[in-house]
Amino acid sequence: MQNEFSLPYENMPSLRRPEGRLAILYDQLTSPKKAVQALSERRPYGLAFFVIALSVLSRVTAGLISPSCAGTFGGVSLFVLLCMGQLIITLVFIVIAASVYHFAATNEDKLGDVRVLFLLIAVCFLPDIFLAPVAILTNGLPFGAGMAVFAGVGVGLWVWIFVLQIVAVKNYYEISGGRSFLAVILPFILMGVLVFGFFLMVFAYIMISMKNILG
Amino acid sequence: MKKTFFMTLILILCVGAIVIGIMLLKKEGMRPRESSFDRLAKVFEGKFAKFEPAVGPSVGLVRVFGAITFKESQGLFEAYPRGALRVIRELERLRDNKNVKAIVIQINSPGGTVGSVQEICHQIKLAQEAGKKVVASVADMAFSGGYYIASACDEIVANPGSLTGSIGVIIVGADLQRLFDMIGIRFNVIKSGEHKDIMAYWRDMTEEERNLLQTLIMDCYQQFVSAVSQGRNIPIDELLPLADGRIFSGTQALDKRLVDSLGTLEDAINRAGELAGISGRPNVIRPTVEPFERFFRFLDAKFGKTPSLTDMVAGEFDSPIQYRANLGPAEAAFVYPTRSGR
Repeated sequence: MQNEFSLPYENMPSLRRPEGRLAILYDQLTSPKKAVQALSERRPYGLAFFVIALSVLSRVTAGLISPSCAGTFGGVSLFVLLCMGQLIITLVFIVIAASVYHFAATNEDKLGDVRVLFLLIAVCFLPDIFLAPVAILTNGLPFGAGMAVFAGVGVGLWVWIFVLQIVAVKNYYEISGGRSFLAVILPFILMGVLVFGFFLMVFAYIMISMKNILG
Repeated sequence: MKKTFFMTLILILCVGAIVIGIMLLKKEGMRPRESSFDRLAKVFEGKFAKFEPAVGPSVGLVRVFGAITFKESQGLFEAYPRGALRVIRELERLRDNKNVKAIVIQINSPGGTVGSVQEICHQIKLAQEAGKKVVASVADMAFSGGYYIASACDEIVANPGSLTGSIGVIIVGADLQRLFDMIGIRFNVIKSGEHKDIMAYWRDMTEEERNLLQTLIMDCYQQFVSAVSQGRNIPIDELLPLADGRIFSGTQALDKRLVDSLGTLEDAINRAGELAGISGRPNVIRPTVEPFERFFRFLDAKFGKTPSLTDMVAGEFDSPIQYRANLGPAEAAFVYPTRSGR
């Protein structure tokens, strides 16, 4: 029975009963706003790790069998190595991203738990699970077309994940879309600058070495 | 309930794709990549053969360019198999591809090391045993080891101005003893046997060593001549006068039956199609150069130095020491000693 003390979500028929975890994942793909609400209430950290693990597996599998792959040197051993590497990179990225988003959002005097944000960002990687089937399907196409389709789908999924992150930050901290976009893009800019700086250093080192070797 | 059902379906699809991908990788191991449909068919031993791409009967193209050797790249950035290893892998891949009915090997090589050339010839034989027709197409040159490979094919097509022949074996070493004496360098050599430092650059060769190497060279030479004789169906008596290391133009080689016809790569592809019974213009499966490999090759071309065996024989090095160091100990080669052909 609804009264003046009822919480707003209790009026929403679909959220009266806690939904199953699979239903939350489905919502994450179809109506992320609803999924953000459910995730922030239930805090299923196990589900977040499941999504990360699945997305890493899918990404690495797709990377090794896609038309753009440089060759399957190493087979399964390389697969395991890449999975471990990707898992570490993804977790580090999520921790950094969650911290930066949280920092950006709390600067706006918005309250929130950084652990929930960690969970929300982790679940945002869910669309990555489609990479493996796409990689297998595009391998049947001629080389150029396969590469083009795979790259197109890859970019599409990346954009989808990016949008999911913006939706997560926007709805969790209840800030505007523009501010959440800025909060989400900031770590990418930071990482870009770091990576560019790293490659610049490596390139400079190679050029100096070349000069010494070739005289 | 509906959501759970759909999400379960999605997860089953994606997890299934991951499992199939891992199975493909497990089956694939270190071999070069093929389309996942081809690999999937192999994993299930033909049960899923219907997934093979419908390209129809095709002619596979393999390129043997530059010096033929197993030698690891000395480039700074090159991280991919090249030379003989690459050719062998491509031949294996084409042999396993049911759509490939014939193979054209385009050769533009001054020759190579004995072992690598014989390995490639073995792969050609395996392809022939698997029912594929193999045609060689000579581009600029197919000297020595390059011609050895061509002679293992069912037919050879050469341009009128292509250069071929140079049937023979060569081994090169430098004697720098006098140079080292001049600048006051002496080597202390501790060896387990008399001939352990055969062809060492710090001393002249003894007569016995010369005879040993001559025997080795003649043994390889006999293998070469008998392989050409068998492959080309020319009696050894007829072949020997041509097998003194001389080179021939395409036209001359046709007169001497060292090639079967004059023509371009396209003619060779059409001929291979004809031999395999493919009607019309055959579909050609060209060697794929992966984007990363292309990138590394570019880097290597820009910054690295990958000397070919021909460079080594011709001495395209800054110093005699570097030249000898790169040649390796007593390396016999089917090679035409020129700097061209890279």
